[in-house]
Amino acid sequence: MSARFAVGIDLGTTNSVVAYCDLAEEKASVQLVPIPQFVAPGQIETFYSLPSFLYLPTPEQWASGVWKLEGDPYQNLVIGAYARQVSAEQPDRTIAAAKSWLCHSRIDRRSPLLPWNSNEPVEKLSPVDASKYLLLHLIDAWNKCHPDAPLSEQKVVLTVPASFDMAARELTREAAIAAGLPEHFILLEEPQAALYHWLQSKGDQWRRAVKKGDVIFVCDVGGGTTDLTLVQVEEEQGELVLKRIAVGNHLLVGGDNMDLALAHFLSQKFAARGTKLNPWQSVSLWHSCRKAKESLLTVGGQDPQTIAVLGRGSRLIGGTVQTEISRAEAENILIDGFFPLCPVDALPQRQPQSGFQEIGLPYEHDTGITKHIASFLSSQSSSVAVRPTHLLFNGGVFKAGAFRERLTQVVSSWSEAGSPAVKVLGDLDDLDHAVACGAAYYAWSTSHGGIRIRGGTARSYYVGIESAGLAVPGIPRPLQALCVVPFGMEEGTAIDVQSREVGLIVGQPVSFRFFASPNRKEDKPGHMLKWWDEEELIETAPMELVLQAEAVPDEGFVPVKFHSKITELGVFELWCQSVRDNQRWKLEFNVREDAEV
Amino acid sequence: MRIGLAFQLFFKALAGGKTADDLQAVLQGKVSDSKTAAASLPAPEPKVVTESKPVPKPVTPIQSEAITLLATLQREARLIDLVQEPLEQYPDAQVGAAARDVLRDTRKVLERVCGIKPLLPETEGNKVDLPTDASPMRWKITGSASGNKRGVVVHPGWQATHCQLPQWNGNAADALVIAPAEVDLNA
Repeated sequence: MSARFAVGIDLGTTNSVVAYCDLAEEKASVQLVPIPQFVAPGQIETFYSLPSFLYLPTPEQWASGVWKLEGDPYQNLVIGAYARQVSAEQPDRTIAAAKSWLCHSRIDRRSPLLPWNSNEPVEKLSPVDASKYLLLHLIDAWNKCHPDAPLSEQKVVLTVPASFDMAARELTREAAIAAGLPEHFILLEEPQAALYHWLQSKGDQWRRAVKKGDVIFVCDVGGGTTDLTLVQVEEEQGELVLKRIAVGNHLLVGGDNMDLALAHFLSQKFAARGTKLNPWQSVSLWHSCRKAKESLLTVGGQDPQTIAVLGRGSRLIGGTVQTEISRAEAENILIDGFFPLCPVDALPQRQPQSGFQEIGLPYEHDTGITKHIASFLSSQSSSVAVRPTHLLFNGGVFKAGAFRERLTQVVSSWSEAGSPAVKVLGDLDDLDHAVACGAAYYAWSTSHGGIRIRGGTARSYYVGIESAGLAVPGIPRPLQALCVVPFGMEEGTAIDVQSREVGLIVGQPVSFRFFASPNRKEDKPGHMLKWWDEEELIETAPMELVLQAEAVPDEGFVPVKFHSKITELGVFELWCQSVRDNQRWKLEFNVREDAEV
Repeated sequence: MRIGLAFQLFFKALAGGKTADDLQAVLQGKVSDSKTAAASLPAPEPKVVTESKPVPKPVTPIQSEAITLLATLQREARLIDLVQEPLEQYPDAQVGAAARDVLRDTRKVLERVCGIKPLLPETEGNKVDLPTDASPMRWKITGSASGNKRGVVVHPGWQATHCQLPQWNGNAADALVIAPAEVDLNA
């Protein structure tokens, strides 16, 4: 059955959104899918976004029936607004930021370990399963408002952070297929989706807004993560084309950090006046800060503003405590703390390495987002930093005008003297929904001949090969890295990697360490690295396969070369091709064990 | 006259055909434009409804929408806590500190659930013309009414632009609960 709708799904770290448009329409008009969700026991309300939180009720709570969603898309789970509301009070029973765990290579992402460090007797979920259930909720919402056009038959685009490596993308795909997305859905990078949203809003006019040689910097600061992408405007046969030239690393810093920083500052103010906040009040203060963040930075707003923490229990007025925060203080914490003025060669502070590092989400040590941006722009070339000419904001944080102004100011300060000011693209009305809408538009445009952002892989990829030589006890053999995917390898292409033969041992698991590099753009497939900076090559999940004995002759090993392929849908495949005959075997990511520990 | 109409409708409904289908649609609330429906097809007397087609009893217990609204206002804005608290013991500043947040959040809830906006586009102090068939529900008129159809807006009125309350699917025994009792097992 052919698809009737183009559907874009933004499976966000803190909020998820689904948008769609009719494939039959000549001009895409994108709409949002209403998502019913619990706001309290037995109270269902419908919003255009789903907080990406999962609450695990006790068996008694579940049995009471107050969490029953029509059609029972899943059991023993409450997803959405209520789960977010209780996440701070009941961290042992809620799963937040499942997506960030999905790209955390130091844990087994298929084993049930969320909620992290929970002391409650809950049935834990793996990051993959948590993502699957979020998608199940979204699919259920779609099917409820389109009972005659099930999502499994539509043209679906699911977005992932640009910073997701191959393994994290593969796991996202696994969760999506398990949830019931159509086999042929497309993965699209979130900043690109935001740019597609801008392209749609402009129509053909976008060609007047930018010119050849311009560089668009998409800065996406969400609740928990920051995602950076550079898109260059090029000209081919007289036509402007867009090419994604770089993406940043996965940065775990975002709006939630800002709320916490504000709450921390205010709790110290309370303490200085002798009011010690209990845990419940601290949570309440955090919520107040989330609500106040925007108005605190509004020019011409009240100054100073009062932040109140309402009393617990029914003694609301009597229990209320309050303090004041001036605009200067708020600016100091939020703007200078998260978007500090800095030169383009600034470097974010690295996490101090200690022997005992707690395994958890690797939150950024340095919350100066502008410093991360500076380091991203500088790392693109060894000589000069990339100077963006245009800025596209995305993510709820940028609803506050002060953040937009500061970031524009900082990026402009990096431009060469005499060059025109950095221009801001796009409107502000849609910071929360742009990714889903852009994804739906992209799904629609693939069958209506719209502009396509090109770029291929955002990283080059390497397999680790131990060099031959005398083994020294206690010292691992020196490792070399063989480039199997060059930077910018396009979808729908395949490469025979020209290299020495590698012997695959028969009958036991063969595992290759696997590396990615965001900035080694010159390496060709087959290039062997003997030496590299630790910063340059980042190890991801290893790839492995088991060669069955009956499949091969009896020497005990098979000489192979690598063959890499990226499908039209953006799925990465790495094959071992026998040099003797036509047999070949596919390598799979092993995300079960930690490569480093 | 109504009784006559009701009987007419009754027999039309029995006879079937387009009028019957239309009636069915009206009874089930399927007519999208409620204004035109109300104008062209006045709702029949309840008696006729039961005779022509018995309405099945709802299977799930339904919470009064008033309770659902109160529960929402308490949950998101703590409005019930505020109005239930005796005010005599507190100075105005203390009341104000708590009320500011509660009022802000109450407004947010009402905005979402009802989409409250002024009934008149004209602001207070501006002149406005009265329509000839001014409904007393929409227009509260003071002063001499003799022939004068133009006056000054003293209050622009309020209206809800929609009504979207949370859906309630609890048990009948809990239908009157506005807010649950909170118990901390670790305290």
